[in-house]
Amino acid sequence: MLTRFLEITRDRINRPLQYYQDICVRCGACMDACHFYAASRNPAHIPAQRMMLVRKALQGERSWLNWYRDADRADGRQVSEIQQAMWECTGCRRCATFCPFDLDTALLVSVGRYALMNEGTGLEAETGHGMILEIGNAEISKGEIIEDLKEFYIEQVKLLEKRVQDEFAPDLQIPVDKKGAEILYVPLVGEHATVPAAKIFHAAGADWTMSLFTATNHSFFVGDMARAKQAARLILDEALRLGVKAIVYPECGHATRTLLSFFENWFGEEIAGIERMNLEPLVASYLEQGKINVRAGAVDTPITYHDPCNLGRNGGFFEEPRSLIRAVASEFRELEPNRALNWCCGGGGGLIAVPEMKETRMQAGNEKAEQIRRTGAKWVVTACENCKTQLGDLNEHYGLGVEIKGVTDLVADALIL
Amino acid sequence: MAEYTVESTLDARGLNCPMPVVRTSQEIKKMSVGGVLELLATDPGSVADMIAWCKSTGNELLDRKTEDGVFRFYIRRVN
Amino acid sequence: MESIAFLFCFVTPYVAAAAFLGGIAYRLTVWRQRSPVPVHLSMFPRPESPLARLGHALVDTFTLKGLWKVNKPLWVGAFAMHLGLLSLLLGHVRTVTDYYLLWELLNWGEEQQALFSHLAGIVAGVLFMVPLVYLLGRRFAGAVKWISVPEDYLILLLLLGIAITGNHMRFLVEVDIHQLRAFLQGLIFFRWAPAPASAGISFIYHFAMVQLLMIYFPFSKLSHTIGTVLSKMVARS
Repeated sequence: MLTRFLEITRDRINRPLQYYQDICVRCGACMDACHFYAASRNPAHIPAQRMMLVRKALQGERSWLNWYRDADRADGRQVSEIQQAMWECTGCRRCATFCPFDLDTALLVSVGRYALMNEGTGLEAETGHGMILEIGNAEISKGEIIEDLKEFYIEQVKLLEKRVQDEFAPDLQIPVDKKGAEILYVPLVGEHATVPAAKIFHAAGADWTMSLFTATNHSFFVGDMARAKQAARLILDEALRLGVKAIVYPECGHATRTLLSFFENWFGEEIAGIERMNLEPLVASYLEQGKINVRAGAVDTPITYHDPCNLGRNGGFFEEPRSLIRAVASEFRELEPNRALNWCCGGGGGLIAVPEMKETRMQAGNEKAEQIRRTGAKWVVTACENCKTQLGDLNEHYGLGVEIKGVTDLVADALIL
Repeated sequence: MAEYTVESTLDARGLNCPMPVVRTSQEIKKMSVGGVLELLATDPGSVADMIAWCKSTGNELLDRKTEDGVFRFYIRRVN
Repeated sequence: MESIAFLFCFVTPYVAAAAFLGGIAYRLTVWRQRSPVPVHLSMFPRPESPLARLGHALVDTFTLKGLWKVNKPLWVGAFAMHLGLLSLLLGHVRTVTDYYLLWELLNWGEEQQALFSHLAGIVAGVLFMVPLVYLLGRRFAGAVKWISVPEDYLILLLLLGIAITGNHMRFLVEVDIHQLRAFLQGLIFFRWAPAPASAGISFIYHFAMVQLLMIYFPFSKLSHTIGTVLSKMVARS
């Protein structure tokens, strides 16, 4: 059992993971940091234990020292524990923030998931990760159909454009496939990821065009870097074809992480001339430079901000969203703790796409729900699609009585033209 | 165009990403092979997503139409 | 007994030193051979320049900031233990050579040196030993027990054994520093001198356990001593 898993894991253990294997002292700092463990008290959820389960499996194969290393041969229980340890994690890296050695459990989970997928442990149905694969594959095959679809797609964007014009500004445009535009904005499924951005770009007088694709990259969630790169390639090719100066990603955490941390390595020279950024810092810079103006105090509802892990501790954008919120809202309350130490919403790492994970997600969001309740805020604002869906589910599950919004929703609604 | 009767309807309007695909996939799995799902969406992104999903899963996109700004897709479960 | 004492005083120290140095070389080679992650792992806050990142990593390492934020009792235990250990290591330099320059600067005579060394040794010995008892104790309780493996207990027991025998020599018996220095210098420069007799059996135990620890060091989690800064630099790249 687990032969393929062990093969792949051994092959994909890189330097930081080798450090993890060798130097983790099992001090337990990570267990107090993990929202999964905080809610479940299941040992397989302790980040250090996630590594130990893999390490034990790796060592269990050989060695007369097993009695001492506490390594057991792979059996059914072990497989299901590893399965849990790898899938019931949002890869938020809160544990790494507290770790005295900055050991990165998200990296382990990325490798572990990929290895499990290739093993085919027969437990897929339980964790339901097939759905993530399915979406990942669809993202890639979009590249093959887009030419046939283009006309229909643009036609539909025009319909949307018409609606936004009626409601917002008659001269607003949502350009698609526009050669020579400065900015290629890659949206998400759902007009909520298009409309606020379109309004802001319009107000800032930006020269932009919308992508035919969406930013999400579900292959990334399962550590399938070859496929993740394939999906990302579609965006790069589009950017090159249109000759844009910058690629801008929407309020989506994992996609932003691929853009800011992986594109450079994946595409090297090809991407070198194209700037890469997330919408939040871009809009914050518009505001700072006076390219857009907003009504100060447009929102007087008590409001709080949830730092998405991939924008906050994994992306470094702590202040930009806050500056936008403060410009619009008169009563901003911080979650405690916040910024790099913020609790994960419990829906990241692709879990939101797995229907079977709903209960686990709600459990893992317990800390988050309590955090929100303590602020007494009525609106919870964030900058990641995953977080928004999860927060919405938590709102219902825990009866928080809040409204979930995106940072750019706030800005778009307060724009002065 | 082939004749078909809709077995089930899914309203994917206003759903967050990637829920339109997730719900469709779930819904299709509940249906009988050969059954047709009607899907409602309002944003262009999910249109492309749906078609790509059909392609990569081998399900058949029978028809698509636009009525009052609402897009309707008809997908036949193949396997 | 004589022959065992001889073995641990004059034979195994060379084995231990070789295993320690060779083991560290091996450990570094293993790390080196693993592919560096090609992407930025980008954990924030992340200082811009490599030098600032190194500074950040060093400050984090020596203050154990992460532990402070998440588990204060553990921080106190871990910080005191490491501080005690560091002081003890500095103190043990005197068993080979002396801080001649320092004494001269302070204008301290033999008596003052001995008094300072005695007091500092007591403080450091306690700082080291007491937290070890706590750190060992917490491995038997609650959730920490789940993540503990035999390696964790063995290392703590070994360190505790070293601390107890060391403190025994500090508190209960008189060890002649000059005899000790002659013995250790003899080992290093192959001009062998007898082990300090005044320390009695504690010395053999202490010395033997230290050797065991040295041999085990590169092959256990103790390699975090050399890996911490490396790991932190990668994570915030």
